Amino acid sequence: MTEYFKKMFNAIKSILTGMGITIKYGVNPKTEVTQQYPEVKREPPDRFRGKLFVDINICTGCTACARICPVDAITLKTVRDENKKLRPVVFDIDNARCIYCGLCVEACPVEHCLYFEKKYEFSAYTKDELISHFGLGELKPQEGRVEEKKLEPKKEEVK
Amino acid sequence: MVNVDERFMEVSMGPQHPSTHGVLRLLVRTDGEVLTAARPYIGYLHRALEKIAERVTYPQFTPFTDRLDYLASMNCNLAYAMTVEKLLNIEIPRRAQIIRVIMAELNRISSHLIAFGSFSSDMGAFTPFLFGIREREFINDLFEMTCGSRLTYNYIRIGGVSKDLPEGFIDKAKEFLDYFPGKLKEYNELLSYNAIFIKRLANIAVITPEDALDYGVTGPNLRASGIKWDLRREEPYLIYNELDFDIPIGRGEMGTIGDAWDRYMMRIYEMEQSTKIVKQCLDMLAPGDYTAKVPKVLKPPAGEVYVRAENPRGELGFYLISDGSTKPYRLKIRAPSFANLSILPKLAKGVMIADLIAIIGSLDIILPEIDR
Amino acid sequence: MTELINEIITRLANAAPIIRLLVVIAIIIVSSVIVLAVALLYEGLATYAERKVAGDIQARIGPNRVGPYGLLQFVADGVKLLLKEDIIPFYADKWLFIIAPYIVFTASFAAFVPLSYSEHIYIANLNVGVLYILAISSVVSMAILMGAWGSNNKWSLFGGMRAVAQIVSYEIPTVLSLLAAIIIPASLNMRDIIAYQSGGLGIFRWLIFNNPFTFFAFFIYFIASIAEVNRTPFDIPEAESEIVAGYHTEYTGMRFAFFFMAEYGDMFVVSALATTLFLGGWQIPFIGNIVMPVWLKDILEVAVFFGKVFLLIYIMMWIRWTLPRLRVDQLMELCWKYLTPFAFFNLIGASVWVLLLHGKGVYDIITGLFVH
Repeated sequence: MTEYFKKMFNAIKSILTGMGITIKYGVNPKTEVTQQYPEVKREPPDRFRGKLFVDINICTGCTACARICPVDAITLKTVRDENKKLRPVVFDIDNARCIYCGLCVEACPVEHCLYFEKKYEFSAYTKDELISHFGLGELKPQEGRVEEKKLEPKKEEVK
Repeated sequence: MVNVDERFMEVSMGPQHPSTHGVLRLLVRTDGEVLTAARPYIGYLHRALEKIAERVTYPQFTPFTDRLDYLASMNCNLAYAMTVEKLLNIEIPRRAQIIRVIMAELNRISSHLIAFGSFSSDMGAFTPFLFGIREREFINDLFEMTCGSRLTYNYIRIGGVSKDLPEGFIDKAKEFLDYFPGKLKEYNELLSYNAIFIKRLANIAVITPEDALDYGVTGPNLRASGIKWDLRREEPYLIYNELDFDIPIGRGEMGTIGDAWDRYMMRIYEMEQSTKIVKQCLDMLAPGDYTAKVPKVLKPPAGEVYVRAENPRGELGFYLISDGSTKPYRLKIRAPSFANLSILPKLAKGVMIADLIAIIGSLDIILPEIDR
Repeated sequence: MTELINEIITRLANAAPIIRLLVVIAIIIVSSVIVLAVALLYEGLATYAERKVAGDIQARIGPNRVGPYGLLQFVADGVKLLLKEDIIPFYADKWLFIIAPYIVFTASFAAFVPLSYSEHIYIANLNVGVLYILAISSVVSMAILMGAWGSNNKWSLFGGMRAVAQIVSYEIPTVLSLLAAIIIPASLNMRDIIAYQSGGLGIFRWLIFNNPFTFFAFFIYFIASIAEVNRTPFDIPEAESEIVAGYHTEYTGMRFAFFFMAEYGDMFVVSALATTLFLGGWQIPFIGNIVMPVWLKDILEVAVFFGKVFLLIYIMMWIRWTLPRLRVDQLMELCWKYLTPFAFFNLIGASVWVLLLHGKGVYDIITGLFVH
C-alpha cells in the first residue's frame, strides 16, 4: 500500500521538477538562441571550408590538386606556353562533386593559389551553373573529365 | 490463394521512419499489440566504401571515413589514421596525440547528445532534442574554428592532425566545459529521472552479459550490461593511460542491469567523463609539432593489421591488408552499429510496438556505419 | 442572445408561417456562422500559439515570418491544406472515410453551445449543459473509430481502437471528478453554477476552494481531460502513430485539418468546463461591488473567462512539450488503478462533506465564524 503512494508521490515530484525546467525556458525570452538567418548571418571563421577559388594567374599547372581529389571534382588541362611554363587552360571545379575535404588546398604547392572562400550560399538552378571555370584558355562546353584532344597554346598575357 | 497466416499481422516499418536513425527497414510480425518477430533489412545506404578504398590512396581515403559515422567523425578518422600508422610504424608527436584526444572526446560528447536527443524525441518528449542541438552548436563552433567544417571534419590525418589549434580555442573550450555540466544536470532533472520516462524504459529489452558477448555488442550497450570493458582502458591508445577517468557501468538503478534505461544513462555518464578528460587534456597541452613527418607518397610495407578504437557507439575496427603499393589491397571496416543491430531480433520477441522504438533508440545505431 | 431571439420570435407572432420559418432558418444560419467563425478563429490561433509556446520552451522562436509576429501563420497553413490533393484510398470505405472528420468536427463544435462567456453573453442556456457537453464529446470517440475503420489500413485501425479505449476509459474519472463539484451547486446548468460562485471577493467562492475534495477533483479532472483530448503524455492515437501510422494517416488536406482543429476545439471545451465548474467561470476576482456600465462589465467578464481558459490551455501545451509519452497499457493502468479509485473516494468524501455541512465551503465556514 505504501509502495502505491510512494510511487505516485515520486512520479508527481519528478514531473513537477521537469515542468519547472521547461517553464523557465518558456517565460524567459532571453533563452532563445535562434539567429534569424537572412537578416543575421554569422561570420564564418578563417579556416572555414566553403567554395573553392583558384587564383589562376599564379597556378603552375602541377595538377597535384586534381590527383589528390578523392572524388575527381577537379578537371585540369595544361599546355606549355612560349616561356616553357605549364599554364592551365582548363581548370574546372565541379562544386557539386566536391566534398569540401580540403585535401587539394593542402596539396597545392603555391601559396594562396587554391583556397577556400567564405562563401556557403551558391545554389543554382542547373547543374552546369555549379561548375566553376577558372581556366585561362578558350572554354569548351563542359564534357566531364579530361578530354583527349590537345589544345593549341594561346598567347596570353602573364601578369 | 496465398497461404497467409491469419493470426499474425506482418507489417513493414519501412525505410522512411519519422523517428529515424537512418534508412532501416524492419519487417515486424505482430499478434495484436505484441511482437513475435522483428527482422531488420539493411543496405539502403550502401555506398561501397570498402571498394572505394581499393582505388584511392591512403591519404585520399580519410574524407571517406568521415562519412562512416558522421556524428562521430573525428573518432572514425582517428581509427583509420591509427591503422595506417601502425602499418607504417611512425610515432606521433605528443602535442598531436593530445589534440587528437581532445577532438575525439568532444566528438563523443556531441554524438551522445544526438543519441540522447533523438531517443527522447522517439519517446515523445520533444524538448531535450533541441537542448542537445543547442549544446552541440558550441562544439561545432569549436571544430569549425579548428578545421573549417561542422560535420565531416577530415582533421585527424595519418601522422597527426592537419592543422594546429587556432588562437582562442583553449579559452573557448574551457568556457564550454564550465557551462556543460550544468546542462547535464538539467537533462537529468527534465528527462532521465522523469517517472514516465523511467516507466517506459525500466526492465525493457534487457541484454544479459552473456548475450552481449555472444552477439558482439560493444560500447555503452556492453557497459550497461555490467561488463567493464572500454578500449581506452584495455588497450590504451594515444595518451589515455595517463588520464584519470572512470568507466561507468550499468548498475540497474531503475530496473534490471542492462535494460534500456541503463543504456540511455550510460551515455549521460560518459558525457560527464568526457568533459573530465578534455579538461585534463587542455591543461596538458604544450608547444610542439602537430604532425609527424610523413612522406608525400605513402607506401606502407606489405602486411596486414587490425586496429580498433572506442567510438561513441562501440568498437570501430579497421582491418587493412597492404601489398606495398600506394593503395590498400583490402580494407575491411568493422562497424559497431552492425553488431549492435544484430541483437535486435532477439530483444524484440514479446515486446510491444512502443517498446520496439525504445529498443532501437537505446541501441543507438546509425545506418551509414551499418551499410558502409 | 436568447433574449434577442425570443424578441424576434414574439415580434413575428403575427406574420405568415412561411416568413416565420424563413426567419428561424436565417437565425439558425447566422448564429451558426458566428459561432463557427469564432471557433475557427480560435482554432487557427491555437495552432499558432502551440507553435509559439513550443518554440519558447525549446529555446527557439516559433513562427515569426508570415504577418506581424507570425500571426498569419495559421492562414498560410489553412491555404496550404486546402490546396492539397484529396486522396481517398481505393479500398477504403468511402462513406465512413468521408463522414468521420465531419462528425468529429461537428461534435467538437457543438460542445461550444452551452458555454457562457459573461453574464449576458451566451449562446444557449441549457438546463443540462454539463451533461450535454459530456455526451457530445463522446461522439468524438465513435467518429475516430469510423475514420480508422474506413481507412482500410491496419495501423489506422490499431490507432483508432486505442483511441477509443483511451477516451472511453478516461470518461469515468472525468465524470466522477466533475460530480464532486456539481453536487455543491446542485445544478447542471452552467450559468447557475457560475452564479453560485459569485461573491466572496470573486475568488474565494470558487468551487475549487470549496472543500479539499473538490481541490483534488480539479487535478483529477484536468489529467483525465488531457487524456480525453489525446494530448501528450496520452497521445498514442495521434503521435505514437507518428512512429507507426495513426487513425488520421490516410487523410490529406482539409480532412486532416478537421481532425486537427477538432482537437483544439476539444481542448477549449474541456478547459471551459473546468473553468466553469472549478475556477468560477467569468467571475472577476477582487472587483467587489464597483459600479460600472454593463457593457464594460461584460467585456471584462469575457476577458476574464478567456484568460482562465487560455491559462489552462497554456498548461496543457506546457505539459505536452515536457513529458514523454505513456505506453498503452501504462495509460490504462494509470486510469483504472490510480485515477478512478481516487476519483471515486473523492466523490464519496465530497458527498459526505456536503451532507454534513449542507454545502457550505471552507470560505463560508470561516466567514461564518466571524459574522455573528
